[in-house]
This record gives sequence, C-alpha cells and structure tokens, in this order.
Amino acid sequence: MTLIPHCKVLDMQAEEVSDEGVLLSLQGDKRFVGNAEKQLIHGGVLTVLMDTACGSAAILGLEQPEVCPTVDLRMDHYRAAEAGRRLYCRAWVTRVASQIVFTEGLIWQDSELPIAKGTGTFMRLGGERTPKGFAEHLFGQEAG
Amino acid sequence: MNESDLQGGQLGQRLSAEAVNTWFDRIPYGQLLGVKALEAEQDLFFELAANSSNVGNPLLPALHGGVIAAFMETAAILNVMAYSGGQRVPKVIDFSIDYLRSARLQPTWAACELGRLGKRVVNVSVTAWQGDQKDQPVALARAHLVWPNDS
Repeated sequence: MTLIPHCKVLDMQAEEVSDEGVLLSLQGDKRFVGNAEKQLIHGGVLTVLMDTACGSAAILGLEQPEVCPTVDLRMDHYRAAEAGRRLYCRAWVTRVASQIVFTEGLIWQDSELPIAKGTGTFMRLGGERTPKGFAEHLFGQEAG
Repeated sequence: MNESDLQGGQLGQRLSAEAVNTWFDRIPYGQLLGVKALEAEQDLFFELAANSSNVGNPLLPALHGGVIAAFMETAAILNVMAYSGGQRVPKVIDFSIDYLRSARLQPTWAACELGRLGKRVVNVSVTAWQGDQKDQPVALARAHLVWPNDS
C-alpha cells in the first residue's frame, strides 16, 4: 500500500490477505470528509478503498499475478461513514474467467452495519504484459 | 430564484463556478484531491489537478482509478449543489464508473449532465477526459443523488 501514492495519502493498511480475499482498512481522518457539517467521510474515499481492495483481490485470485486494470466499478451507499472512526473493506473474487476477474466487496465501521457494497470487474493483461517481480513489488511488504 | 423557493424536483438557476469554489471547506476531500470548478461557454465543468499524490500506478505513471471516481463523484455533488441553491451537500445513493482509458498524470476534466430529476432523486451522468480530447473520455460515470431539499 505504501507503493501506491494515493493509498499512502490515505494511509491504507492491509489487515489480512488470504485465499478468501483481502481485508484493507483506513482511518476516517478529517481530511477525508465529504460533508463537514455532518462529519461524514466522502463517498470517493470509500470508492478508492473499494477499488484498491477489489483490485488486490483480483490479482491475488490468479495463479500467477497479472496487471489487472479496472474495467468498471459500482458502489451502493447503504449508510454514511462517520469521520474519526476506522473503515474496513473486505473484497473477494466471485469468478476468474480467461480474460476477466469479477469481484465484490463490503465496507463497514461496525461489523453488523454495512456502509457500502461494491462490485468491480478487472481485465487480465496476461503474464507477458506483466513486469517481472510484479507480485513481489505489490505484495512483498505486506503479505510476505 | 431564491434557494428557499426550490421544491423537490425543481431546478434552480445555476450558481457560478466562483460560488462553487467557495464550498470546498465543506468538502475537504475534494480539496485534498485538487478539484476546482470552472466555467466555459456558459457551462460548468471541473478540473482535477495533476497532483502526484493522486497516482495509483507509479510505473506509468497513471492516476488511481479510485481517485478518478472520487473526482467524478465530487463533480456530480457540486453540479447538483450548483442547481439546488448550494445550501446542502447531497447524499450519494449509488455510483457506477466505466474506465475507458488509462488516465495519465496530467490535468483531468469532468462535465456533468443532469438526467431525470424526480421529487427526491436526481440522476447525473459524468464524462471525464484529459487534454482537449473530450471525444475520447478516460471514464464515464453515472450516479443517483438525493436532491437536497431544505424542507
């Protein structure tokens, strides 16, 4: 996460990486507010978190990591996210096809109250278009 | 028209880019990204500054896809505020983005179009492009927002 400049700005952390998917988190800092009057986190911060989580899950869902740009992403905002609290996003792969990886994700602050649901579709660029050491570069520091 | 006269489903006269740019203390993350409103040929549009902090792939370098989405969502929010008196920041119900091209580290532009405006919900389409290639957008997005009634 520290290698992706905007994820570093958000101080995004990888909490868990497994075959089941990824769990990322970030602190709902006041710089990330989208409604100052109500002290709510900007929906765009949730979208960055979701895109990063779904993209990470997509790459990790492949046998050999490939570069996977986002084709499209949809966010459903179930309820507002409060500033000053930590946000968690779990993302997982629903289907790996020959050229596409389908993913879903969920964001929450209280585990029983989902804040946003995301659906992300990613394109596989294939091993030959993926730089050597890509996986180590991306995940070496956090996932080991 | 005064904003207090606005009813659900009623478009106000559009406020100026200058007015829109006074709202960023209410939307700190928009300011962090480097968003501002501009006006050209009677149209309101938005700029995302080419800040290196917005990069997602440092190898290309390319903007973070989530940042482009956040910029386009901010554009949709400010566009709705510009037509609804600007008193309240509207809630976003859902947001969907299609990425058409990789966005390089250069200024990005966005323009919004209000689709159907119901009593409570407004549909907004957003186009984002770089350089003067508005006909080759980097992303297309659509969102539903709650129309910010003051009542």
